[in-house]
Amino acid sequence: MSDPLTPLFNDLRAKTLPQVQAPGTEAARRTVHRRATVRASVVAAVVIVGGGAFIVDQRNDYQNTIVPASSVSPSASGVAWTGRADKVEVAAALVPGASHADVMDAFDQDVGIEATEGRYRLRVGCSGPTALPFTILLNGAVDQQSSVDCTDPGEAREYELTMPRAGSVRILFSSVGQFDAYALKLTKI
Amino acid sequence: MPAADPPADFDAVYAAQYADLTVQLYAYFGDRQEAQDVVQEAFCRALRRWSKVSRYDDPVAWVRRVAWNLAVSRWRRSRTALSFLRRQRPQEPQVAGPDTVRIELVEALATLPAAQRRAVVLHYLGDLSVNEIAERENVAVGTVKSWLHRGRTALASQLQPEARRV
Repeated sequence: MSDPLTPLFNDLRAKTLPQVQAPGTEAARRTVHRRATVRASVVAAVVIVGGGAFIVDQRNDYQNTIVPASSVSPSASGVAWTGRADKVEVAAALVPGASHADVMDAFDQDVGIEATEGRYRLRVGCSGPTALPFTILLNGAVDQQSSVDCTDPGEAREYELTMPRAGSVRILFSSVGQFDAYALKLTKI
Repeated sequence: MPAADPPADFDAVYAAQYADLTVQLYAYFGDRQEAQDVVQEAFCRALRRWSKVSRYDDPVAWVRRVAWNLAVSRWRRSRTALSFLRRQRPQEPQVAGPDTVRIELVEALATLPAAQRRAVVLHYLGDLSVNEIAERENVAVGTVKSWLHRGRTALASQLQPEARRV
């Protein structure tokens, strides 16, 4: 004996599916990138405020007591490991017309771009405190792995890609480059 | 457990699963927009960890689990809010929606206890077996069978005329 509920649920599925409007993967990527940028900004703000409080505290200590000289490590300044404040603009300036620009957080970032069959030039610009490794995937298959040596003034590199058929180019940035700002553009050649 | 296969493509998984997951959560919530929001949020969380999630044996199962967890949390919150609003506005008129079997099924589902409803939706719309639901819910297989039996009985009694029509 067949289950009388099965056709009801099949009907529910059949009639609801056409009404579902997916916001899309680009919307998801924008959401994730926006959240990452906000988190990176919050971390930077906390570091700056913490660094400021530390300096004020040190000054007060110097005024009130005699303390032994101490060396502040570069990482405590909050600048050496987060890079310059305008790093996103620096990275974007290295890639005119960049389609994506963001700041790396403590997790990998996945940028996907639709592409038709043909040859492309990928330009990646980066400004930040450490090298930014990434993997380029064409239609889900790894094409090449590389890295941009990020510096405060910024660096850019170009890559030639060949799409065998229409699909997607994905650039998977490694979280090793946390706090780096990157910008990229894919151009058909 | 990480698999040796090439990582799954996020766009492909999204395209294949978004609508199906939304239908399941619509049946659970009774609100399509809420269901769409929850599924999109689950995919955003998956995307953030995609380099890891894509290497799982079944990335879709991860997304489904997150979506359902979000759904359950939201449903609990909205149930609390709804209960408060009902106490504040006892004379609010009941407006009848479109009279279709589909709406009645969703409304009938809403009367089931949460666990029974989840089991019924996962079974009929998620196409999960009793064993898979038991594993997902972390309960015994017999418990899931009991949920499904009670759920079916309750739905059948509410939807008898519609069940005969289809």
